[in-house]
Amino acid sequence: MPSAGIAKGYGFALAGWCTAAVILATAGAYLYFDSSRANVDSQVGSVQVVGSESMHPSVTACAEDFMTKNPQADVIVKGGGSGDGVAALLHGIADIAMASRELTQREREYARSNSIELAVFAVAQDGISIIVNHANPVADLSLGQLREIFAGRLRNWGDLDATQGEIRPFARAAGSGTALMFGERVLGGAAYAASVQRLPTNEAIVSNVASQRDGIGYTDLGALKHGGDRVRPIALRADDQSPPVVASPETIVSGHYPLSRRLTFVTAGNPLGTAKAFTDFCLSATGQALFQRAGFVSAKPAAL
Amino acid sequence: MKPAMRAIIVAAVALWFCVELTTGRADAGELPAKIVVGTMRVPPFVLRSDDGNWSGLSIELWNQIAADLNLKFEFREYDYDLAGLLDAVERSQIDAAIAAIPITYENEERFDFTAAYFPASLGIAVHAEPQSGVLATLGSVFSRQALVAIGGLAVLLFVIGVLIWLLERRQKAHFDARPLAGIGDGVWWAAVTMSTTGYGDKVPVTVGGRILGLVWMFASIFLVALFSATLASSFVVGRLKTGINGPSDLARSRVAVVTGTAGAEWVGAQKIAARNYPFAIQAMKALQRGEVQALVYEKAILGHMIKEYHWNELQVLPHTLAVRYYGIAVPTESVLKESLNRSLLKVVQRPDWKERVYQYVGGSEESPIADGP
Repeated sequence: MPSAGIAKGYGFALAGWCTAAVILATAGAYLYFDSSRANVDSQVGSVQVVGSESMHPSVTACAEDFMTKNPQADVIVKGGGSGDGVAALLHGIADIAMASRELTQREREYARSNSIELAVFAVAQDGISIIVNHANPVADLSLGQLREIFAGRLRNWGDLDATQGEIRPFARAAGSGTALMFGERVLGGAAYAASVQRLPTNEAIVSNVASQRDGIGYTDLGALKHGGDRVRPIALRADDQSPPVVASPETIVSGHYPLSRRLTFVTAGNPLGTAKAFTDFCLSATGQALFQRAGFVSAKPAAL
Repeated sequence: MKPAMRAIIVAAVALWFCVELTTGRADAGELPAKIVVGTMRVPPFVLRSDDGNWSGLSIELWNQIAADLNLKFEFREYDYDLAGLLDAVERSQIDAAIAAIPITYENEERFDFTAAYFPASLGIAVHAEPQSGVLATLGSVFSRQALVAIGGLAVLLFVIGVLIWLLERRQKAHFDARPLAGIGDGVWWAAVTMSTTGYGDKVPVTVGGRILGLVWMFASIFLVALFSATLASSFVVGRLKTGINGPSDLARSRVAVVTGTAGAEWVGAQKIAARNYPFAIQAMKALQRGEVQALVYEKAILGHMIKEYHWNELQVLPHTLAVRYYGIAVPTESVLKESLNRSLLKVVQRPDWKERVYQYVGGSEESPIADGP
């Protein structure tokens, strides 16, 4: 009866395998059920948007409107400055960085060495406005004069045919895209003078200039309205010969205003899911209207 | 004597001027030809469809007033810009603003209000408190997760029962040779073994049966652990508490408010620390994420959002913290105010106004009686 013995041996093995298979199948079913639950939870689509203080208020309004149409999505908008935003993106903490300046060499290199493909979307255009107190009679300034003021070499309004008084310059703190661009285009990379007071937000600059007769500062167009009629944007001359130009949608689009820039969303790779839907929304007519209401100029969608 | 005389004359002139103005205002004929009314989305008080049509309780009120006064008007949209809307009224850039603007001291300092047309209760939104108690626990036994666990176990017992019968049926010692009775014995044995009860009434005697028994004994340890963990978690999830049951719990909780609203002002007056969010949905999302535990805001708007957006995990507590009355904001010394007031009171006293209120605000607001913190 050797054949029966072999058959019996197969029977034992078969029984063991069947048991193991059943146990594995059951455990697998449990795990599958658990993970399918987890997937359902993550579909609510949370998107972190971090960066530029200039863009923060408009993008927050866009997020609110976006969520009225997509109530299960969660778009979290935080400020901190363009530098913080790009850093958060590069470290995977943010899904979208708001940058009011172009990416720096260092940021591009970091992205390349970590194989992160950065995509940049212009969502609006802005001009950095130079503001003075409404009581200040000064009419216009050249970029050269601005440089002298913020480098601390020009210290009295009297030297600019305005009412005597020590000039009080206000600038944004490091990490701000507005500050970086002002540093590049106006100061030519030179350092701010120690007398320049550094403030964290554009609103803080506007309110300080609004309350101090001898104040001067720079801000994005969006924060201008917080000053009401107590601050006055002044016209700029690119050099001493060129005519003074006031920041307006026309002069920014035409490129005549010397301190114009684009406001961008930066993503790692092309955005997907909720991040993509939100970016599209910001570029839609509704989103662009919210940027324009804030004082910015609409941008034609352009990926670089 | 002379300064006193002058004061009297000035007062008399001022009085005459006031009387003149008031009578002038009362005359509807002197209303501007076309006025601009600022408004912003605040469902259910102001809604706007995708094609740009305005509706909502406040808009309904305005349309009835405008019809009553024969006013020609256009709406100017200030969505997501409450500060901009209020600034525009203060600077007389618009003739009136209607949305969900509470008549508060701070607002009254900047511009004028008509009479109130809606009492808005401030309330607290929290993460929904799931039902607790025996019934709720029994209910959670029948959750999908629990049913899958129990079903899986039953199938497994049956499979093991069939296997042990196949191995043991020839011995006829403990397991009946007839399939129906034998598989029944097998399932019984599998359950007795798995639960470590071990009566010993059925015992495998073949080598194969004993190996299966050995594997099943130890596999059972894992399965029972998995099974009880799944069941336990499905019970516990239903019993987590938010810990906020009323206004008295606010002081020790993470509270959210929406910047510039009546809720923010109330929380500030109570000296309760709160996180500010720019807009209502963003504050509600923070509540969903658990970033905050409570949101103080107008109950009618909270209730509407939860219903409209199906945020079933959020709920509004029944307490009313305070009542703020909505009015139409007009610039200081507006010539419109008197006419608007008369017409507004006429509209809200009409018998069908109550139905309009119910239609838009519905059950998301109970009778507004403050019971305080």
